[in-house]
Amino acid sequence: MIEVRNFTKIYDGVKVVDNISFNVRKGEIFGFLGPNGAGKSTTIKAMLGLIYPSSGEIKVNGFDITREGKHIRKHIGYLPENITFYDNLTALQTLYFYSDMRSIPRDNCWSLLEEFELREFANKKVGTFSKGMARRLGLVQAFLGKPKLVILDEPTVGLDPSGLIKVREKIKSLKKSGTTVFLSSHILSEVQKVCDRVGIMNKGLLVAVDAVANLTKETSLEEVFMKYTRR
Amino acid sequence: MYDIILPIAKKEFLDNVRNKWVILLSLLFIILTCVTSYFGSTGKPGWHALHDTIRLIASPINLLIPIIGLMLGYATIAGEREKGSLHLLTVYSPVRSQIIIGKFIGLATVLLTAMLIGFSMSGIIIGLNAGWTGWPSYLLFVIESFLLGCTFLSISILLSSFFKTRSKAMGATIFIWFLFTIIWSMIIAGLLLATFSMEDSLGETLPHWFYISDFFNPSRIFSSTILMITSTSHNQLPWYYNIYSLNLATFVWITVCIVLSTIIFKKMDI
Repeated sequence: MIEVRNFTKIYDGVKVVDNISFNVRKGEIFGFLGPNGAGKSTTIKAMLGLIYPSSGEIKVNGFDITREGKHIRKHIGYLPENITFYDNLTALQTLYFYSDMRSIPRDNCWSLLEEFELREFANKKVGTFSKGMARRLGLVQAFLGKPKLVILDEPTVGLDPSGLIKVREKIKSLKKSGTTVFLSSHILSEVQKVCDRVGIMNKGLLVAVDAVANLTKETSLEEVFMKYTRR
Repeated sequence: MYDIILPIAKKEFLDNVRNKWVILLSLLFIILTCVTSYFGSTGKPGWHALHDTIRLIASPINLLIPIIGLMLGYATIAGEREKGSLHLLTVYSPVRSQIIIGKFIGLATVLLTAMLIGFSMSGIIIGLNAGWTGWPSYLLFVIESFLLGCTFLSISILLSSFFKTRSKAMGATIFIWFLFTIIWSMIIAGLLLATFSMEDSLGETLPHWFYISDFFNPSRIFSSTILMITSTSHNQLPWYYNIYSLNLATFVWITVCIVLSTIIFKKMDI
């Protein structure tokens, strides 16, 4: 589903991501780990075509995201780490807007609002939402229209325990329906519970890519993470 | 393509309806036009005909509409980029140029709606009180005002695409407003005085560069066009300086600014 080949990103002469390569298979849940400043968000942005690679290429579903992104964007759902909506729009108007942007039907907006316990706030302006509510709305917009690929950057930040469980269940249900999920998170216990494979980044390098089961044969994911990201 | 442009344009328009910009602008146009028409330049009460109203209102409109156009657009890219909402918009837009075009159409519709409400209501009030003579000129004046607004809107979108932060984009728009509405005339007047002799001035043959320079300033294009609409004799003007060429220059301004915004935005890391 995702092919990252020799991807490098340089900002003002500083190599933020250094020649990384990995694949994400169709239908799998891939966890993307690393300490702050490791280059995870830069890689995610490049996978979405928000930034251009300094070198290397990134393909999503066979299309080069920077040159042929128009063929695949409709099928991607994305939750940014710091999500910001338009304060003037209500939750429902926000979802309708993103549905229209992606040319997908508006029909599952209500059911998703229900699923994430936002139905009663559907007609409230997003500007009045708490951080947790905005996060849940962010998740709802990412799941609109049954996307083929969902990219979630820190999906559980600001969520209460019930929200966290809901996200976990949703991700598992997406896998059952064949959706590929790319997930970046600092909550390693959650990653261990839901992901099939993980990639670990440190200082702009991809230091490990393997199945969670292989990495945690003898130890916890936390210890694996510490081993690979020790500075 | 329109599947993406229209939702963006609609959102921009509705945003400005919700935050009362459309109503405020409409009221501003009504009050400004009616007050100017009633008090005129002397301050003596009494309604002026539509034709005279255009002459009276052209200068304040030439200062006000550029500000409105610039304020509507300066944060449209830089502000959203800073806030973070541009991420989702860009991820979900198949082609980035659609975002620029959608935003331009939406904001231009805000301007058009406010102008249609404001100028048509004030036009009716003036018409009922001072007669309907000169309504075709008034209509042309409204169209030219809208084009002036669109030109400054496209300039502000270009600045918003170029500068990374809202504050820098705002600084640049303020500079552009001063340049085109105030500084420009002073520079041109200075150059004219420095290079043009008194004898030439008596003969009323201004140099070509003077006329050509007008094409490079949307504000000058507007005032010259309004002058042509309201005046009946303009025999001394060069062949290339007429209402059609000036309007063509306006369209070139809008197109160039939107194309440049698109090019910058396409290459931008978000």
